[in-house]
Amino acid sequence: MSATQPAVRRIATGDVLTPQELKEFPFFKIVSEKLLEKNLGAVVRRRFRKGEIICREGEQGSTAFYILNGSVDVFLGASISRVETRSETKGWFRKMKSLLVRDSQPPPTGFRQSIPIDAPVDLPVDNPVGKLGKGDLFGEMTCLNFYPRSATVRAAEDCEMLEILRNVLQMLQKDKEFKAMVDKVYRERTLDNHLRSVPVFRDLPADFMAHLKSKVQLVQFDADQVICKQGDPADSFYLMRIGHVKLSQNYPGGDIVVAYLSRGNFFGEIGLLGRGERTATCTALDHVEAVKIPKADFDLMVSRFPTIRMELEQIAGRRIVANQRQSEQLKSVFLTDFLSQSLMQAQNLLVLDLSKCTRCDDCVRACSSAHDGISRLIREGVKYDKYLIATACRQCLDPLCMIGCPVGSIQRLDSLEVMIKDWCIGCGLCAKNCPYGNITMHEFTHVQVDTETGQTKEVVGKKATVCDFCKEHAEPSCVYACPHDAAHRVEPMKFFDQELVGITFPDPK
Amino acid sequence: MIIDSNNRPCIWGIFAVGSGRAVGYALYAMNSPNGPSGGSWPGLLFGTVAIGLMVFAALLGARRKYPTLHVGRMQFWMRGHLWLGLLSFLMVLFHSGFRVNGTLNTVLFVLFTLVIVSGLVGTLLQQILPRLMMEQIPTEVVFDQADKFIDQLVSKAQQRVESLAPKAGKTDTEPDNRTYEHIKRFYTDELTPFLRGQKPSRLLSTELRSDAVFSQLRKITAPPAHPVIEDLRTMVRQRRDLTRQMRLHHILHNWLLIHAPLSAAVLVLTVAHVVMSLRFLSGQ
Repeated sequence: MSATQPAVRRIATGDVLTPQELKEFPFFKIVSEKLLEKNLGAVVRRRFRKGEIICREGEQGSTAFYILNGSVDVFLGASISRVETRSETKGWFRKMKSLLVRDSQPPPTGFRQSIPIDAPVDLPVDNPVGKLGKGDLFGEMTCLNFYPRSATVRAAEDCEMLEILRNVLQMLQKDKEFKAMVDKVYRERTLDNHLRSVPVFRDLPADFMAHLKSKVQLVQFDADQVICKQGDPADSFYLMRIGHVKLSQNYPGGDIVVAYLSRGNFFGEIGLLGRGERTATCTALDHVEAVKIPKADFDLMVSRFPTIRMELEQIAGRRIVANQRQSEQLKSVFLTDFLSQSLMQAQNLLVLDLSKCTRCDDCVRACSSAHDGISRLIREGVKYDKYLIATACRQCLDPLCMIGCPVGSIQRLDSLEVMIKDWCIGCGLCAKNCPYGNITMHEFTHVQVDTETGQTKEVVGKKATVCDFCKEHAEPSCVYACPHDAAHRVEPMKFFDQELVGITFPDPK
Repeated sequence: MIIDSNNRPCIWGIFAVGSGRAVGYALYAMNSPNGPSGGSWPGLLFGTVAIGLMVFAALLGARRKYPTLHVGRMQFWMRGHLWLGLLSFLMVLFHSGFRVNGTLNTVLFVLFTLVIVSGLVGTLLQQILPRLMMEQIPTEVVFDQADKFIDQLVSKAQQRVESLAPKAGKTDTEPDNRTYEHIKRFYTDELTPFLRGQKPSRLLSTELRSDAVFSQLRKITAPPAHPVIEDLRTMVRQRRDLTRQMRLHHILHNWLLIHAPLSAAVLVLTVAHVVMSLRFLSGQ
């Protein structure tokens, strides 16, 4: 990701701080003057007046902000809703339309109640607004990993902050004093909320929370660093703060990605609750920071609070079942050609039988007609035998689209289905990351309150959309509209086993 | 639409209905002292059924305009279009008693026959051409994107050719210069017009001749240029595939240019036929 970003050496706006001025801050004391001289312009002092926007969600950036004075509001301006295709009318003449809809039901137990952002606070889903104050650092993910800004930040009062480029932030993170200072602020102000944002821990009593605060370690990992290996003894539980972690399992044919985790997710519970062994290898995909709860404290927690143990066991059980389902799917792969075309990564494919398809494009028109003129499928792609694998969401087993979502809105359910949650900010990173071009950015107008005038206005926003299989109907529109029986949505393994080899495997369910 | 085993119920259904109607027609024809006619009650019944079937078949066009309307899968409509359209022709024959009188009726019958024949030709093409395209064209291009694809080919070819241009400041550039000039001339005179489809190229339009041209080009150029020549050869092959694809695509779809307008004309003339027949009958 970082390789695609231009190297920014200086910040264009703000007061450039000389090495001498920087040295006045305690955390710059240990950095050599020569180094600071070399990086002149990489740290600037910026002043914002009350109401001024400091950064906007979805924007590209390369800096982090450290608040020296004052406070800021952090919020999501994007409409908290997702794109859903619904029928406008009932009965035979049902016509489909894409609408922005919002979950009226609270998220089910075990699911996230808050939106993870690139700041020491999480935002509640029902009212995504938060506050940061003196000593808080925000924008680390953007600065270190070049992800888009995850939220809009506005000065709540006149404030002053340091805007810092990556090279300096990395230098500072190696500085014990700076690290200790930021960690202290985090422990005091945020850890409590962060732990409680995980549904399993929301009911932990204050005294135990205080105990945890003193026991947990705040750890960080560089990109590609292995956090723990499959088969290692399980010695701790991790709660993600920053970055993305890949969980993979080793099989004779190679590694299989089990999941991608981002802020608010946790890992390590299966080993701690089970045989005491890591069941997957966890690797940092970018700069990762996590809260590490040692085994002794984790054991104490689950023994003192049986409901937490029960909930964690349920989650672990669901994860194990999902992992088994995934490995079952992959075990039946036997065709090298199939592997080479990455089709083994798909759980569901839109295939067009080219011996029947007259290239009339009725499937594309139907998709477009069902989604306000924006087709989520392209009649182009790899060929496998007589089938064209059309460009439409494949529900990949290795969902690369999930890496880097600055607000963690693209998620995979236990059913292995990839879905985009309501708080997508429309930055388009998932669309860029999808190797098959199967994520479309859908423009919508929605009503927003003007932050300066307080008046409502119509704004054009974007939401990421993937093939939704036209769930409201019995089958996807593209398949329904194919006059030649050429388009099919299939489970690839089952379909190709039957179609090409004539083997019918028993349904594992 | 491929006529495969999925169509068996339709074929049997149409056969059964058609046979039943044929028996009915035979009985009616045998018992009519003046021979069968469109104005008799059985004749009118056959005519009404024929119109119903024709209208259903014609509705496929409207149905395709609204693909997400949930009024039955498109396959159902397509099968209905094909088989009921065919049945309607039989009904028209029974309606007319295998005789055509008057200019309007003759024109109507001829046009309807053409509609049926063009439809059958289209169906036949759909049995053959999709498979042929699949087998003969390894890299199909989305038809609407063909122009863009050609632009890409031309610009890629230009880039590859320009990569051979002698670098400034390099000594002993004579072999490079000659190679570049040969390839540049080939690019300007033959390759670009061929890729753009501006003129039929005698040299590049068949694989055999094209291979000979490229092999000759390799002989007269320096070895470092050979990978570029190989790339150009691949581009020529891709362009030939595109030409073949477009030709097949046109054949696969252009029969509709006859079928659809004739169908519309038949419907209009059928209305005229009905109005005139009713006026004639009411005048009797």
